[in-house]
Amino acid sequence: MKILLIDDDTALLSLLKDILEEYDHEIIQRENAIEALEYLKRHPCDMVLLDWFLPHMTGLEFLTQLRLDPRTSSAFVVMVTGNHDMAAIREALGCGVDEYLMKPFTKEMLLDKMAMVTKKALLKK
Amino acid sequence: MTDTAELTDLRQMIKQKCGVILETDSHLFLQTRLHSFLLFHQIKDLTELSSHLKIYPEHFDEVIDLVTTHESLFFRDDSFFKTFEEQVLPYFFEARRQDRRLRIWSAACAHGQEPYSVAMCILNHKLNFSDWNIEILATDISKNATAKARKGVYTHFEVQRGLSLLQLSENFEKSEEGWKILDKISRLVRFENINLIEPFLQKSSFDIVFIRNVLIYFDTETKQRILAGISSLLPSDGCLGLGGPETILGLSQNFEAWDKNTSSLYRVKKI
Repeated sequence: MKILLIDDDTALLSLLKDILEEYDHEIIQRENAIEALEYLKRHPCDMVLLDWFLPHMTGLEFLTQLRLDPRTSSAFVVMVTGNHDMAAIREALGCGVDEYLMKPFTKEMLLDKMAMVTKKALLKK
Repeated sequence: MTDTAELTDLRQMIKQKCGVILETDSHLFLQTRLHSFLLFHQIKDLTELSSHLKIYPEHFDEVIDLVTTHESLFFRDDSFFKTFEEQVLPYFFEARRQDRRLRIWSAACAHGQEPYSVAMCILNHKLNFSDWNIEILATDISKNATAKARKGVYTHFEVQRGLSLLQLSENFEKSEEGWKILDKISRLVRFENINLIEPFLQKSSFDIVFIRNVLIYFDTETKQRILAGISSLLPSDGCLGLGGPETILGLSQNFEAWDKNTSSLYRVKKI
């Protein structure tokens, strides 16, 4: 899969990249949401791993814009966040998030979410 | 490390108590699992433990609790749960529509993820549940495991293994202690402590029995005895669910595959 990682935490970006590349995924990284959105409009990705808090635009604002644009609306999005509130989860669902990975997380949890999204993507096709 | 006579004795005692087979090289496993127990009771080492348990048999439950595995996941093996939800449950909802009663046993339920997953599948069917008498009996040998399961509170690590975001948001609430399963799910499940190697005293029967990822810990004779016991609790159209690495081959003649695509679900074989 081609996966876009969006996070301003470069240490986490690097960790995620290392894990996902082990499983032969192609990884693109962006540290801010505006650049990521521009990238996605021109280069479709199978999945986006998105941080909640980002420079210039929050993850939810990013998600809302992503879903409104036909060029990007079908991307599968996993929100990666330390926000464990049910209200936040429901808000993210309302904005069109597909899955949610609560920090801190283990490699198994990340891979579980990847498997879930892959299955959803297959069902959609 | 080779077994001392006392360690062999200890492995035998554990087998007799709960059926779990520990290999001759399980010294390190036992040492790790029982470290805090040995410290707390001021027992020098595993060799001394077998003599200790003969003097204090009431401590055996704690040892069994520490030696048995309680790890589980929600919706463990999703192809199994897909077949269960899409084929097995619709079959029983149709077959039991007259008496509107469905009984399920989740044996060796550990911390409750399996019976709660079953309950979530049932609620997905949007039946008029006020008309139905549905009960999921969830059992485990460990009192600590069923106490945690009964409480129904999980960490964010636990709810993120196997549950989708939608399942989490529809079936749990966030409390100060963690993620709590909603009453609409937990009211379908009743927890008890049952040791699978003891004769089943259950008088009522079950439509469906799940005994998943536990037979692997028993010897062949114990597996055969447990499967024969389960078979006696199931009606002629009853369903049996095993874990991914488990099979009935060579253990029971009473079951046949539920369908050719799911190797872990069986129905009672028609005679």
